[in-house]
Amino acid sequence: MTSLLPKAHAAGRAIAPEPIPARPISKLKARQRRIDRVLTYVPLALFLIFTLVPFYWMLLFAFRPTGSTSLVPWPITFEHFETVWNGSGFGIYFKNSLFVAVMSLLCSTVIALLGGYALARFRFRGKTLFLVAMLCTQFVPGAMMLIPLFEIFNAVGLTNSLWSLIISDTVFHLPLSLILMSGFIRNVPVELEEAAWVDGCTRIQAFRLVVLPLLKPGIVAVGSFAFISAWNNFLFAIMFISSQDQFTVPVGLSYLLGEFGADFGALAAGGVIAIIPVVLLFAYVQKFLVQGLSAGAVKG
Amino acid sequence: MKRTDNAQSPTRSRKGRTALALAAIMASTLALGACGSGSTGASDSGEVVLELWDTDTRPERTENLKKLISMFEAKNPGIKVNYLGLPTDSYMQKISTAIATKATPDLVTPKASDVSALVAQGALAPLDQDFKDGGWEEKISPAMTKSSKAASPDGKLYLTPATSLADVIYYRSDFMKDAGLSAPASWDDFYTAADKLTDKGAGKFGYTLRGGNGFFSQFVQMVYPQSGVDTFFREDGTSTLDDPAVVAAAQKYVDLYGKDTAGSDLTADFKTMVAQFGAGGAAMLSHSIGSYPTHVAAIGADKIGAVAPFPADNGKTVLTGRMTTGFSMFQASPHKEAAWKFLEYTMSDEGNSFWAQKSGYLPGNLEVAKETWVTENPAMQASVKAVEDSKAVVLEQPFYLPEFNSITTTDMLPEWQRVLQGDLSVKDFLTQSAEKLTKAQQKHAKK
Repeated sequence: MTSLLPKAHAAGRAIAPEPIPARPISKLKARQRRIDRVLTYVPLALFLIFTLVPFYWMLLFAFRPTGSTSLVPWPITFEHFETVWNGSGFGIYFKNSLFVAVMSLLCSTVIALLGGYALARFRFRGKTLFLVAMLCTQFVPGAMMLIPLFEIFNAVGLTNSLWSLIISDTVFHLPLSLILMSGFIRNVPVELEEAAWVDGCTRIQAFRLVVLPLLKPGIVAVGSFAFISAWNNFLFAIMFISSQDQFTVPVGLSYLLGEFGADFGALAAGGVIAIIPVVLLFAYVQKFLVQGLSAGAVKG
Repeated sequence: MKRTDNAQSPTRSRKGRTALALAAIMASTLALGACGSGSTGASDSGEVVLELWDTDTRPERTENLKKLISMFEAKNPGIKVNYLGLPTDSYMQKISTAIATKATPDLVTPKASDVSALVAQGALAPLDQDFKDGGWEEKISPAMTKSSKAASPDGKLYLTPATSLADVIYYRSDFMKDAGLSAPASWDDFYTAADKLTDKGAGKFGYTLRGGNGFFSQFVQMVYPQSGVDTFFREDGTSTLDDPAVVAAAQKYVDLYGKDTAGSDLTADFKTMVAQFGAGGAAMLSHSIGSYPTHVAAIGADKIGAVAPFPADNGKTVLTGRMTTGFSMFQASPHKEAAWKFLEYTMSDEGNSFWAQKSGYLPGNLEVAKETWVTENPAMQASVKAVEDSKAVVLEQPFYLPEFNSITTTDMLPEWQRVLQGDLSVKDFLTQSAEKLTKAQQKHAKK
């Protein structure tokens, strides 16, 4: 390797001082680069407009006074936020949603870590069947399970409790989380764990000290999916809860669309409130998420 | 797959695992115990607790309903009403689940169009006897009582005729004034105004036509009164949708599309129509009196006028959209007596006046109907005046047919949009739809 380096340097030096043939090439290159840039950025810009216009529409309606037809939210007003936060009880719904989503995130991640580890590291009878069965549960729509789930929650006294949402969200999300997580764990060489055992760790210690730190992208991917699906779940919230102060944000949003009236300002303000946690979460975890998704999906 | 899986850790701690499992079980038991709550319907103090599910939840309506409940509770110590608001487009799913799992509340505010489906499941309690014994037959508008009974498949009263809606045509009075027009007084006036108020270049249209979800109510509101046909079915049980007068009126209505309306009206639902009317994109809109507060909030009371459907060429005034918006009691309610007290309160002078005025509904109580606030509201005034017309006939929609909703929504909507696009003739559309309705009616008659 070292003997090649000076040659390369010498070649570089030899090409650089020849300006005559370089000019037409660089012109051509520059034009090509410009075309490339146009072909890259114009579709990207169009796509961005397509994606961002609905957001702009939402922000416009949320911050624009009622009755205004201006295309910019000026004069800016917070009246719609006050209406939804205080008048529609979004403060309570927000708190409930946050509780449900965070608890679902924790439960899903912890169970997925434990179950995913078992799927990745152990051989047991019926493992393939178990995986297929879990995949099959993904084809059953939540709406079909409403009545049996309601009966079960009713029997154990969990209807009207946020725990019914946490349990059902976690359970429905678990198959995907388990499969994703087992893929991540499989990517961690078992030899690392074995080395830890040799050094005197128990299996749990080895998992906690060696495997867990390497699973950060996986935990972020599984956790954020669990959070978002619990945050957006409307069906279970409306079905299992029959008490106004236990409802979540998606139910609160639907209140703003009545049969004979739609307060678009309040609806947009509610939408802004509803997306804030999701946007913040994505802004923070997106780099892990892309990494996590590709790692789990391809190699798992 | 050749990797050696290790089924056992070399230094596994059985004690530790058992402790962890025990801790997990204890934690989940604690959580279950702490959060479990059962609703018995009676509080410790012996107070009766009624559960009321509202099916058209909006912030202002919720506030009014809660106020009505507190007024009732003040008059009836010992009865407490718990309010639960459900979203208007998914409440039936919740109620169906509640019926299937025997977890229904005591009271509900069903839409007249859903009463039939609820009665078919045996979910609602008939109120005829209590209504008669309480002397409400004399105190409540007979037309509204009739309309309420017409919503059920067996002709019994399940929905209190507390309040009702009615269809009107809203117009922008400022646009009319600017164009030198006065409030339309006939169908010809309406079409002339729609034409004159259209300025396509400026993005302003004379009318907004409902081409999307829920199109049927506007279709009926505009076509039947124009045709002068005042029933949905002829005496032989066949649908009047294919009546030549209905077809001719429908053609005139369809011709408005694209000429005096925006092209995007093809998929316009209620929200789009209201947004268009509120933003000044449309000068006229057909809708129920229930949306009056929304228009006032968007453009101000001084810019809105309202007229009731005009007489047809045959001299008949056909009134549409007279849909009862009352309260119902569930058959499984363990507190029927207390629940009836609440239903009575919503029809009483005090309760009815408050609820109808705040909701923008026509009051069912005949005394309340004489109050000044009824005459102050142009939409309501137009509706009240229309009923006073001796030639006025109320067109009852066949909500008692369980298939009515699916025919007029799922089946007819895509065909209606084809009509607007010119891919299907009005006559063919109405003939096809009439056949479906006739079949449903005949099936009902056989029962």
